[in-house]
Amino acid sequence: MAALNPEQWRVLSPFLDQVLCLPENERQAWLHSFRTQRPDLVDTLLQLLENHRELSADHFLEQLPGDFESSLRGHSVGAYKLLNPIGHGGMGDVWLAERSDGRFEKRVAVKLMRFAVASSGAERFKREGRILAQLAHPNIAELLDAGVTSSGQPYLVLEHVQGQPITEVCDERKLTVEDRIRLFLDVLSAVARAHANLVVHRDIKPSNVLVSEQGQVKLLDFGIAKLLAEGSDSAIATQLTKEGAGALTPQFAAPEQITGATITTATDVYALGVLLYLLLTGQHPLGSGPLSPAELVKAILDTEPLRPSDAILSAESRAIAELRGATPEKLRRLLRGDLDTILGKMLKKNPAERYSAVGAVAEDLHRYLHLQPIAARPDTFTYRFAKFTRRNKLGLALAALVVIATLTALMAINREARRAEARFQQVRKLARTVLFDLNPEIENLSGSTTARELLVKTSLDYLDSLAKESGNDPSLQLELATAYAKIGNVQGNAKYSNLGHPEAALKSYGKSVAIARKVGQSPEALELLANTYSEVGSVQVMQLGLRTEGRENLRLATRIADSLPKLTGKPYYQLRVLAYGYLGDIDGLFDPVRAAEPLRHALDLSTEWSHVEAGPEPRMFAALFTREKGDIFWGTGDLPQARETFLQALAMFKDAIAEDPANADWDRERLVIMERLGLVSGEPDYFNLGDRPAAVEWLQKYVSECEQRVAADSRDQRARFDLSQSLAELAGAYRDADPPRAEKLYERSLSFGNSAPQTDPDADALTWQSFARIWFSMNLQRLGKKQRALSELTSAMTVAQRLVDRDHTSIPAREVLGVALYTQARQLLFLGDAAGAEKDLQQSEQVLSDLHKEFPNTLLFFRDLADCYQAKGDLAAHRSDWQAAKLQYEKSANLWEHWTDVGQSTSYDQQRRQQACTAVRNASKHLHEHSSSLR
Amino acid sequence: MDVQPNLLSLIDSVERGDTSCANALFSALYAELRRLAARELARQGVPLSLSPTTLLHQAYIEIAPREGPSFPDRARFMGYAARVMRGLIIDHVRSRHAQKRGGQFEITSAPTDFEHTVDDRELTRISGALDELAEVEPPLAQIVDLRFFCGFTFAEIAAMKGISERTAQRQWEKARIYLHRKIRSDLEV
Repeated sequence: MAALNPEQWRVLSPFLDQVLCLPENERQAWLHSFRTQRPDLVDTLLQLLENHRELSADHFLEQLPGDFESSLRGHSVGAYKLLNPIGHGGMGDVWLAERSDGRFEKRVAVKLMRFAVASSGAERFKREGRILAQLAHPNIAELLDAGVTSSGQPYLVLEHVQGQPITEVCDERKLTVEDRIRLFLDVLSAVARAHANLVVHRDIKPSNVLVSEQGQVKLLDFGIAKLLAEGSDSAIATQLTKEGAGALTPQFAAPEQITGATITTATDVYALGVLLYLLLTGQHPLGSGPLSPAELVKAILDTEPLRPSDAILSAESRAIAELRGATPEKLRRLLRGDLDTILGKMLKKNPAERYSAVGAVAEDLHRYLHLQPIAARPDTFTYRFAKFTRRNKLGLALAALVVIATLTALMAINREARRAEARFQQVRKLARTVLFDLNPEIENLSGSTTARELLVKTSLDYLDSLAKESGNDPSLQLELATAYAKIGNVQGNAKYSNLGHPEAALKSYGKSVAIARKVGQSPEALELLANTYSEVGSVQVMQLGLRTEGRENLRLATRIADSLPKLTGKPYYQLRVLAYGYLGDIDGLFDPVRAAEPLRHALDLSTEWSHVEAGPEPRMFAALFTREKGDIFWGTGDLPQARETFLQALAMFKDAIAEDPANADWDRERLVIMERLGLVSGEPDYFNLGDRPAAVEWLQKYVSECEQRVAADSRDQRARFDLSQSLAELAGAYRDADPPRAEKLYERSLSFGNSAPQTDPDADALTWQSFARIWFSMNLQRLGKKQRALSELTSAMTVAQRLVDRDHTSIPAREVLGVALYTQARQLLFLGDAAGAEKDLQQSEQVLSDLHKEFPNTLLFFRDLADCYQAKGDLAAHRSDWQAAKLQYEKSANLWEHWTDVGQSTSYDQQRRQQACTAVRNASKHLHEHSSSLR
Repeated sequence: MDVQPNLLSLIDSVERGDTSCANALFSALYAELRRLAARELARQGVPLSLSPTTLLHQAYIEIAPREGPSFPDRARFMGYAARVMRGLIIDHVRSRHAQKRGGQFEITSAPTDFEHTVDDRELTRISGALDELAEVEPPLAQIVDLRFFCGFTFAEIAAMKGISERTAQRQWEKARIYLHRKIRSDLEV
């Protein structure tokens, strides 16, 4: 379009006035006569009129730029101080904020509402807010507080969630249909929780369903629409419904939201249906083209959604399928049938025809997934119809017996893992799943490790061939499945005496599961499945770092276990107790508080069990879970309570053992308690009560018992490992009081690591060994053996670095690296190498602060990071940079101070805090002296 | 504290034909309006947004008595202030957008209305075109300032300028035509 020069305009302007004065219908005539008067101008004038039509259609300059807004940066809202604006929503602005009183807490998001409430509304608003704030669920962004400022402006304080909308994440990572459904199941879990609390979300859409870097789903803005509607004046409420309707995302609105009918949980189901549809097909159920709001509303009310499988027929289906890791044909196949049905039911116009509860949707989705969350893909078996069993019955029976017998015997030895606090918390379970009646002698047989390897191999070969020939006899199949599972345990399940091949173990478990599933819904099969999934999950999490998958399998196990009582009328205590126990272990791995629920469940079940059944087993489990309860107290810093609980557990163990004194397994669990009591009493490297004499007493006993075990079978890897650990722990207790003695103990401890044949170096063992070396180096340092100290540290660091490189998600590996680094830094500093120390400290801080950020509820990382800052402070002090030293010491003190935000405070943390504060004061003193000397 | 600018004398100079004072007047008014806006917004307990119209009314109420009886009436004042308001608004929108566009942006609940707000680049274009229009047909430019940037209604504008509402509306449409065309053709270049 040609530009109009000022002259032209000046000439045209009055004529433009004239024509614009006229109504539309008179303009034609006027233009006609104008053409005869000024033919030179008429075309341009027509152009201008055309421009006018266009700009009107564009609504040019009709949207005013808006009002001035104040910068609220630094203002206080409730207990929080606003930092940065992070969004302008339909209902208000969102600010990043932190606590005004300087308490170190996670940052929050404060949502300031755009309207005001009268005083009556304010109370309502706050009350509703409190109800919503109780929706505690890992997948729900917490509403922390709701309030009203003195000027009547409502605000909400929300957990600050960092993540991307679920649709984006799924596309970015090209997640498959199955993965997307699994992620979606997390969303359902959150919504189900809210519904259970009678809260309807009302505004589920991708921007309200975020996924964090770590893959955690977080739902936002729960029930806020309701909260707003109820919290305001009636006048404002009408305004809000208008605003709200505008703010309401029409794309996700259910028909009843548009017609103004009652909103129920089914409304959320609808929105979830739209979301799932989007995730699976990349399109909106009511059409892929852009629809105007009016058209969309009409479609929501009238148009039946296209079947998902049919939606993959358009031109973009290739791109869509690619984002789901498939071809269009494959995607169609995946969606056809079950998913079509499920989505259809979610998206029914009439709420009564939809799924009434989110749980029902989840169930159907699980069924669609065929309960398949297992990493090891089993081989497929073809069962040939053979007269094999009849013909070879005797041979088979004998063979089976040998296999099972040996395996059961091997299984009889379970070990307790050596972890305290938030390190690998592998709590051993007593899996006394004895399937066959066996001779007691055979049962208690313990063989040497080489013999086991051989036996495992032959058994496996035999089972494989057996599986191929065995036909469809369900009882035989179950035996097979059981046998595979047991072999798996021996191959690589760290809970049992094993040969250290976890991947192989998973393969065997996979075979077991495949067979058991084919057998179907019989209680025996389900029982086996529950157990096997538990084992799979444990191995995946503890030994292979597959945290999400593993946890999924463990949860599955509890679900299967819980289904059995309904199915058979029998309580299945042991099975359920085990399943929940395992789950509790994993849940509590780095967040002790999370374990509390499954653990409580397990403890309750075992208590119930012990009332119903006599005998040692239920009591044993109750004792075990009590010990784990103690572990949780330990991990959250409540040391006196931890010690109490451990003592309680010990008494319970003793009682249980009294009922079955010959049982070696039970006895071993008792040993573990002794270790715990030793550590919590006074081992300096763990959270402890400072009672050194008690620690020594317990640990000495523990060492003796371990010695006995190794004496019985020197090739038992587990036993050697346990002894090695026990020696190092005892050494720890002596480190300050009797350094030479500690040195001897450490030497012995580490000699085990070197001489035992390591076919497949267990990451677990190596990590632990690295820690032991670090402690050893501290001991050597104290004895003045600087070079040796440094070389031990270097070994530790090399191993730690290798472990981290091998698996950078491994938390223990990262921790040991971080600790090794600052310990080394200290030693370097001592030797005068400040530059080297600085480098190490930088890296250490990086590693440890990452851990702390990732697991903000783990006290262990508070301590580690605080120690790192302390070391940094010492470095700065060494250089007389008192300003920097003060800063670092303050950081350290700060962490100790915030210990109470996460856990219990005892003398342990209080003393450390004191030390840190003293260091701060010291640094300040130096600072003042220094500056005063300058004046 | 800064010395209050003597707006009256600046206005007088400009009206007597001393164009060199125009910039000074602009700056003085700008500063004054900005100060008032900040003060209003900083007041706790007030809804946290402030419309330009309100600000201008507020400004006049404060300035006029202070400057003395010969201070121009409201209408004339608005004539000057409207242009200043344009600048103030563009600056404000620009800084708002700077926050939004900058670096890491973490959102708790994604905003849904970005598409409808005018951004600062477009405003700058409009402003440039308006300056040109002000040379060609000044009343039109002023209507845009008053209506679009200051938010006055046609009725208020008509009263201020002593014209009929219909005339005001027509002038507005003409101005729109001019600006739209100017901006479009500039973009095509």
